[in-house]
Amino acid sequence: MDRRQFLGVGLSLAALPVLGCGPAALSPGLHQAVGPETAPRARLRDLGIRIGSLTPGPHNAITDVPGVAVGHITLIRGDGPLKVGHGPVRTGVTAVLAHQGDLSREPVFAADLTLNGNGEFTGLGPLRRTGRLGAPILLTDTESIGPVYDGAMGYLLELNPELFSGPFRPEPVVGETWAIFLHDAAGRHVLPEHAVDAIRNARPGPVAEGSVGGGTGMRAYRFKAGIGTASRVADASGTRYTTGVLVQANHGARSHLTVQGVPVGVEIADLLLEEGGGDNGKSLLAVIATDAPLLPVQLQALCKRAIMGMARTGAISTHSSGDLMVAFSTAHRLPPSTELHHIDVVYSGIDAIYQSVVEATEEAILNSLTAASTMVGRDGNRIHALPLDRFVAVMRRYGRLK
Amino acid sequence: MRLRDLGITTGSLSPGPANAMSDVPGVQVGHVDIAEGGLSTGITLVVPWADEARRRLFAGRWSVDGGDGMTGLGMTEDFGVIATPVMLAPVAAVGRVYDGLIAHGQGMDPELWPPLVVGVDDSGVNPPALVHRLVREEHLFRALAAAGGHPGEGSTGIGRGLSAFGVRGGVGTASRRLDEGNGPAYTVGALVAVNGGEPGNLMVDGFPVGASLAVESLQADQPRSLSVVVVTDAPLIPRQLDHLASRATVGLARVGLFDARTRDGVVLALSTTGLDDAQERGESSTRPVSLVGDGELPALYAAASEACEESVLNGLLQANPLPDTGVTALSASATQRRRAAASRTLSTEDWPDEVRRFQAARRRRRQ
Repeated sequence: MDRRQFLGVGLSLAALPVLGCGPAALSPGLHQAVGPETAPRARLRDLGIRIGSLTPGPHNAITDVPGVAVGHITLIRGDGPLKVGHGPVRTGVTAVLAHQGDLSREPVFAADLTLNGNGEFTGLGPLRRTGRLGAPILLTDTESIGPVYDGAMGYLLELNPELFSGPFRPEPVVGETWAIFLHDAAGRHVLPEHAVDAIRNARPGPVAEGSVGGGTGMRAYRFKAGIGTASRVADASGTRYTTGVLVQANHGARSHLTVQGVPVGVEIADLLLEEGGGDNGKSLLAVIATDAPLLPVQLQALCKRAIMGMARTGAISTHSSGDLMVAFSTAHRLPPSTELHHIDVVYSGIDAIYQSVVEATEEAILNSLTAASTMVGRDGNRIHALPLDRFVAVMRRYGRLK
Repeated sequence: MRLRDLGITTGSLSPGPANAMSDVPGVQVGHVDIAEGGLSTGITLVVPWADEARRRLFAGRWSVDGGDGMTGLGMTEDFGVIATPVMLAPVAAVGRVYDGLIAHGQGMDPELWPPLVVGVDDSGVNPPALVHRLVREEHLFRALAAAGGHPGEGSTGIGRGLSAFGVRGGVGTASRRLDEGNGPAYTVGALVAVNGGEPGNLMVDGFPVGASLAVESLQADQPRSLSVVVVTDAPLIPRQLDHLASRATVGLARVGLFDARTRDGVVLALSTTGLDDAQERGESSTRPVSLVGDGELPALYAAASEACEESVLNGLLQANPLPDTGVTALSASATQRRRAAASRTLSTEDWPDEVRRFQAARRRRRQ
């Protein structure tokens, strides 16, 4: 099977809702997610659970921040025993673009934060040095960092052949979590063109969640999880700003799962992983976008607030976690230049944006759980979906739902 | 005597008119000397704003091994903004100085929080218990009142108790002015509390001065910390100022002060551009900010490196011999021993000639 054909299989199985279909396929309410095992899935809000007090944007997604685009490439192929190089394949690539122009010529302010460092985000050197993001952010599985970086670098050079001739030299920001339990990680199935396709597929509007893109093989709190997103619109001293978060969730022990203070993971203690292989991945990647004009130091403060949203879902950030955050502001494009930049930045009212990040991160993680369906991968390894009926029943029992 | 008075220049950029931190418009430096009880210590402060209405300045920080104790760290690192003078004080007196600034601020300056006090270890000369006992608020108030134009150098303020390269250390300053022809004429000024450094490591423009200095190796417990303040009128945001601060180490390494055994130190970098507080009363939740483009940064980094390098040499050259103050009667034996090890100033007998010949030979080879 050649690369293109291979890619096509993946697309036909899982990525189509993102690529081709309009909002109808992703409209609010229970909808059918596509995967090896299908069950009705939902977004947290569709279940009647409201996180926090702020209002989400129209799509309740990171793409509510104007200009931000998200694309997924999902690779699902094969079943049965692991045969390295052949599968089963359960991975993909998710691209988050701060805008759809030439990022390397029109970078935006950015910052990152490491909560626990057993993970990878490439390209942080230039990001920290310049305080700016000039490349796509890509999320994938651990073993696929290289090809994704490589593909994204090719994309950057094609757009901007002068990439290495100026003082601003961005590098692709590629993050990972470990899909080993379901995926033929050693098989090297992700190719550079998958990264390029994820970037080219990136669109504003609704974002597919759960077992898609980089989140395909992931699980959180030992339920199937993956990509999740949410957004908030908040008023900072008279100006309305939209802030969105997209996570790739692969973290947490079951007993830690907490929703609105309800010990959901204690209440639903069964449906654990059928351990047929290692289960060491415990990481969360969070991408935070805002249209509020913030400087890098302020964006780093947003990264810290993402940790608080994560903590509200019960996570403790274990020693083996790669819990990494990247935040960017779309408000100003700051091209490489010798000229002075004159800009406005938020000076008062930033608390509303902090609250947006906390709430959106919490909801994004929970959306990744409610959106993902049960998945069977290599060696028949199975990760169960969070059973929504039981979840709702628990929330009712604790008085959080009527 | 300063380095340029010896006919020696370092680096390729030109200094400002005074070749001092005060070349950055508005920046004031003050020293207070403390000699009570035979102490040879003091406090140095930098008031980095020119205009009270724009005293919220962006700040950056870089540290060697985490740096000496520095208060106000949370605000400096997390917000990248300061609104207080920078105080360089002996470590044992940091609490007193901090408290004095609080008391001062309560009366007349509500912006004065959190106090930014950098502790500099001068225990090679001053018994910490004595410093702790004798430094008082009154010294701080005198330092605040002393802030003015050209900063004194050598054995003044915090410089009175410092030692470096096995000789007397001190406070040194220098500046660099970017060429107007290549962009805006920004000024970068540095002030270094010159402390630490192995005797053999002293370098002047590539010439190993330390190799021929007749000084003993440092005691293992000799203080090896340094502190640097870099100020510029170039509009830089906190992230850029972190990097400007880090470039101080390039200059410090060239002169040999920043070496493998220099235990700790902190570099603060400030931009005097400031945030306009006057707008705070207005409706807008945003504030205008300027920052230089990437293309301007290398020249500013070079300026910071050169100014720091020359500041160290000025600090050494301006130092006075440690007076015999009788403090030894009060001090622990460790202090006596360390005090004796670095009470003389850097000799200028032979090496300036050699450096000049070395520089001339190098120029000829390049032609």
